[in-house]
Amino acid sequence: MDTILISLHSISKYFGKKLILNDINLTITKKSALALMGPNGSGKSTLLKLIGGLSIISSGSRDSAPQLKIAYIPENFPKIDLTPEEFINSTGLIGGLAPKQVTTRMTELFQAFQMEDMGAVPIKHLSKGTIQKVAVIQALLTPPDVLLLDEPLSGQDIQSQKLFIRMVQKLHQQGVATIMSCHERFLVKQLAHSAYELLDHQLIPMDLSGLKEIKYDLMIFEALAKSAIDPALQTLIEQAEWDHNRLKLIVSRDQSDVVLKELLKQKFKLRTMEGISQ
Amino acid sequence: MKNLLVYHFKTYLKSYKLLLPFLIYLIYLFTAYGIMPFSIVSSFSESAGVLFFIMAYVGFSYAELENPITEQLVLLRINNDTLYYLSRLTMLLIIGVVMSIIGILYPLVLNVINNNHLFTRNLQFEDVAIGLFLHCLMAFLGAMTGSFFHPRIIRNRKMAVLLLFFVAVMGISKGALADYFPQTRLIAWVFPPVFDILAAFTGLEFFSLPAMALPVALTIIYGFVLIIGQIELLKRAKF
Repeated sequence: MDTILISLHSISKYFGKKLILNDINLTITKKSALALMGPNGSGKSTLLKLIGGLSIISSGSRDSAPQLKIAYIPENFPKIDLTPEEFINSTGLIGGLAPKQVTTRMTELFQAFQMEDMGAVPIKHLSKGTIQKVAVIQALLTPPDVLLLDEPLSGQDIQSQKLFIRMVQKLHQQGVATIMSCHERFLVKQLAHSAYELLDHQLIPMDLSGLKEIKYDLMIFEALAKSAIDPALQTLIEQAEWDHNRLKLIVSRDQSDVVLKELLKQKFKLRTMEGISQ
Repeated sequence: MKNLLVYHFKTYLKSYKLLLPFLIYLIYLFTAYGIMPFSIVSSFSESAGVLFFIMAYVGFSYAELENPITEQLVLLRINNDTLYYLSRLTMLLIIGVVMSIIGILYPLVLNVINNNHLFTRNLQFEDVAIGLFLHCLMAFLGAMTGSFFHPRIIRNRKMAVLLLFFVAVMGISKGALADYFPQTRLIAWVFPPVFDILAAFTGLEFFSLPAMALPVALTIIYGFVLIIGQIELLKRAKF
């Protein structure tokens, strides 16, 4: 039997009088690669924090293996005054690494994420995608036992997304349990062995085999200016990100023709389109 | 602990939030020691009282600066919440000691420049030692009081500012208030014992160790209750 790292027993969480999570049971082992899905505000981030012991449980209990190393990639890393080098260096040293180890690992990760030129720029002056890279690098500085990922790809460019997915897959092969909250179903297929959906405050197991059939297209459009996407169209889009006047979309292949036609009608100009290799 | 302290210092100093209280204290020192001569005991006591307010602001602004996300990341790294919160308070204490040294060093230098005529009598080693201790004690009390009003302990920030102001003012004026309204003595112990310390030296020409023993003990106990209280509350009011 797998070593149990963390287990949640009948956990409920309230914020004030508002129920967020109800009667959650979950066991995380060394082999776990879980995805938590669900709409915004369904409690995915709260559940991740409860798993990490970062949030107080309203009722139920949480057990964890002793001396468990947990790393966390938050959805929105804050715009702080420190530079990426200062922050990563500090967290590495606080985590018990020797200064030389921190420097070596930090240099490797900065190179891998193409951040060498930005190491000395205050984080508050970096773009959203680059800040998210800092969040990823701090978590990957040392291999943890459990890696918690809260919408890990938000704002990252395609190259960084691919690198990140490879790194997390490698960590999982090395025995790191990964628990990820995300909206992108294409990511679930690559990084998770099992998935749950948070619906009505409860954790519902999802059938991953259905997800595995879905293929995706990446489309990059150019627009005159950043504009809102029609809500009806939004439901067909897996992921949408603006970078100035360029819109990057990840769309299920079944829906990509519809989305493409609609956006061309709205005067968007298609610049790139490719299938995403699984 | 060392690495945590370095991290806290970098975070705080880079925010420039220390600049304002530091400058205000310097301006106070420049103006307070403007016209000589002074009684050593009363001028050191007054300077320590001002440092209480300055450090209450420093403690409050530092608690305000804490980012919940980076806090969570560091907490996961060290796996010891108490150590993390203690390191933050230790950093405040170090700032308090530095401010206290400035608060004592400035009149000492000024006294030398003025050929030992800054004070009404000759400065002795005991004056400097007790004066520094008094400043450190007030800085400790102020920092612990200010940091207690942490955003996770009092979520309503307007209320936190008003409460801190009220508590700090009551700390220094509770004695005078009790003279007019004796019944307030019943709740006076809730407020920081600033008045208790300063009252111990009123009208004295020399610092008196027996007179300050009880108020000092009270202040240390009060400060430690604030430390334990805020650490426990922060651990219970997690994200």
